[in-house]
Amino acid sequence: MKNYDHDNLCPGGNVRHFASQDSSGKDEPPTNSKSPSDNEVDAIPERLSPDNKAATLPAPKISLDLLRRRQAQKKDQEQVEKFITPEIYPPMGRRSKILDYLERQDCFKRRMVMDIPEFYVGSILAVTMADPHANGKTSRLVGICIERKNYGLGASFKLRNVIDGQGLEVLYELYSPLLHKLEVLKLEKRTDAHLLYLRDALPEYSTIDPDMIAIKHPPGRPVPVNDIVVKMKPRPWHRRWERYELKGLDVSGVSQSRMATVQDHILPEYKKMDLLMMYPRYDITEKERMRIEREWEVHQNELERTAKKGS
Amino acid sequence: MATSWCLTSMRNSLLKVVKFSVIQGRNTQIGENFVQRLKACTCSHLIQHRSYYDNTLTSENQKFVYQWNLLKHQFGPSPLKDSPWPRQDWKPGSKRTGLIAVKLGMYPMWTKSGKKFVTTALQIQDCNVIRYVPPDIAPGDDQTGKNAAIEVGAKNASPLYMDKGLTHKFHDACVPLKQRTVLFYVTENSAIQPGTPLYATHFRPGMYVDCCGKTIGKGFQGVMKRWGMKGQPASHGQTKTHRRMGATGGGGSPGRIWKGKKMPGPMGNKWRWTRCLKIWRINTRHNIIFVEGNVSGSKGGFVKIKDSLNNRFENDPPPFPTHYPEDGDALAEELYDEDLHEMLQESVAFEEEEEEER
Repeated sequence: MKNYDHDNLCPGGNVRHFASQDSSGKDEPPTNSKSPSDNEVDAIPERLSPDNKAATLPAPKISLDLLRRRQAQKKDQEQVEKFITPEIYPPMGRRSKILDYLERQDCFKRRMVMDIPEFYVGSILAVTMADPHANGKTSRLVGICIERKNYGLGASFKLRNVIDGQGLEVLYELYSPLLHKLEVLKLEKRTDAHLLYLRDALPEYSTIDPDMIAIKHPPGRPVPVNDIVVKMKPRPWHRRWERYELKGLDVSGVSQSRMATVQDHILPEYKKMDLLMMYPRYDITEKERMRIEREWEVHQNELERTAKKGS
Repeated sequence: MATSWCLTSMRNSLLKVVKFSVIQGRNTQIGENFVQRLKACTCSHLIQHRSYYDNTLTSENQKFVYQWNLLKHQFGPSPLKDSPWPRQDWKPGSKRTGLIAVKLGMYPMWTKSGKKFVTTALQIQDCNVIRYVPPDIAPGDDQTGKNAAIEVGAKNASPLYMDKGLTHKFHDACVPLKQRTVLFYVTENSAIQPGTPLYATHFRPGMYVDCCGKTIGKGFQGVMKRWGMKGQPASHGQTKTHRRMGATGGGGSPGRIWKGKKMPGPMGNKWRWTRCLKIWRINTRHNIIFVEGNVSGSKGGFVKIKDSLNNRFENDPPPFPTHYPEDGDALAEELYDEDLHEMLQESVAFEEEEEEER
C-alpha cells in the first residue's frame, strides 16, 4: 500500500494507459526470433505489434505505404469524442424545459467558480471539502470513484478507499458549495457502469495510497479503459453480484447451483433488442440533445475566455 | 360503442325520413309527435356527442382562432385605457391579492452555511386581474362587509373548449380567456384595475407565503392508507380481518355511528394549504418563484399563492397593491435571499476559531 505503483493495482489486468507506454513496449519479448530483422518490421509501432498470443505466428511483411495508410486509419479511429458531463441530460419523465434550462445554467455557473474536471467511474480522485470538525477546517480524501448518480445540481459521486484495513466510502455532491477542490489523480474508465462490487472484492483492489502523485493524462488522447477482472472475497456478499452481468468480476468461485439461477434474473436477448421496449428509454429528442450540447459548447468557450483573461 | 353508433345512425335516418315527410305534407298528424318522442328516446344516454365545435376546423384554422383569441382583446375597450385608479400606501392590517401559479417541479439549493434543502418552483403564467368586487357586493365570509375581492385568472385557454357563458368576464376585462380563476379577499385599499398583469415580483425573496394545491388523487382507499389506522395482525387465527377498520363506536347508548367517523373512501384530489413557506429566489425573466419545501399537487397543476400571516411588513412593506414594472427601475434577472448561496459565489469555507485560553 505504501509503495504504491499504479501498475500493481491491477495484477493480471491488461491496462492500456498511455503514460507508461514506452516502458511497456521495451519489456515485451521480441516478436519472433526467426523473423528477418528488416527495417520495415522494426518501424512498426508497438500498437501494431502482435499480442502475446500472436507472438508465435510469423510477423507479416508490411510495406511502408501500407503502414502509413494503416496509421492514418488508426488516427481516424482514435479521434476523441467530445466529453459532456452525463448529469446535464435530463432523465425521462414529465419535465419542465425552463426549469431544466435554469438548472443547467446553475451547473455552469458553479463550474465557472470551481474547476470540475472530466472523470469516470473507475478513475482515482482526490477531494478537498470544507469540514467544521476537521483540523484546518478542510478534509482531503483519495479514492476510486465507484458510482456516479443523479441529475443536475443533485448529481453525486461515491469515493472508496481502504485505510488501515478499514473500507471507507464517502458520498459527495458534485455541486455542493462545500466542495473546494476536485483533482483527478488518474483518468481511467472501467468496463462496468458502477464498481459497487468492490465492497466484496479483495481489499487490494480498492486500496490507494493517500499520498499518490497525479498521473497526467495527455490531452487529445482517448481515455484508457481498464479491463481488469476483480477477484472476490468468499461469501457472504452484500448482493448476488453474479446476477448483474458485470464484466469486471470473476465469478469462477461461485457454486454451480447459484450460477444455475442466474439466467432467470437476466433480461433475455430478444427483450434487450426489442425496439418498443427501448423507445421510452430515449426520451430526449434529438432537438433537445442538440440544444444541450450547444449550451455546453458556449460554456466551454466562456471557460476558455476567462482562463485567457486570468493568465 | 357499436350499439350507440347504430342507434344514433338509426335515429338520424328516422328523423330525416320524418322531416322529409313533414315537408312533403304527408303524415303530418303523427310527424311532430314522433320527432318529440324520438328526441326523448330512452337510449339517449348512449348517444355520444361527436361534433365538437372545432370538428370542422382545419389545424391551421384552429391555430388562427387561438392566436386571434390572444390578440383580439387589445383592440377592445380595455378598462386599462381609462385613467388609472388611485394607488394607496400599505397600512398595517391591509391584505393584498394572491396569485395563481403552475407547479414546475423541485429544485435543490444551498444556504451560505453549506446546508442543502429543496424548493418548489412555481411559475406565474399569464396572470391577470379579471374583476374587482367592491365590499358591498363581495360575497365574502366577512359579515362586516369590509372586505372586497379580486378575481385573478391564469394560463391562457383556447376558446374552442370554453362555455360561452363563462367568457363574459374575460371580455369585460379585455384579457384572453383563462383556464383557472380564483377569488382572493382583499382590503379596499388594495384594489387593482381589471386587466392589469401580475408578475412574480408581486412577492420578494425573504417573504413568507401560503400555497394551496390540489393533492394527487389516490382513488378509493382503505382505512389503513387513508387514515393510518393499525389494522389487525397477519396471523394468530385471524380470518378475513387484516386491514379492516375494527369497531365503529359504542353499542346501545348512542345506537348509531357518530358523524365524521373515519372510514374507507376517496382519498386525495382535494385543495390543501401549506402555510408559511419562505421565498428563496425569484426569476424575474421567466416569472418563477422558488418556495421552500413541498407544495401539494402534481407537476403542471395550479397553485394558489398568497401572503402569509407570518410576514412582518412594518419595517419593509411589500409592493402595494402589486408590482408595476413600468413604474420603477428594472429589477435584476435573479433575485436571491440574503442567506442563499449563489452559484457564482466562492465555495463555503469555515473559519478557524481561536482556542480560548483558560
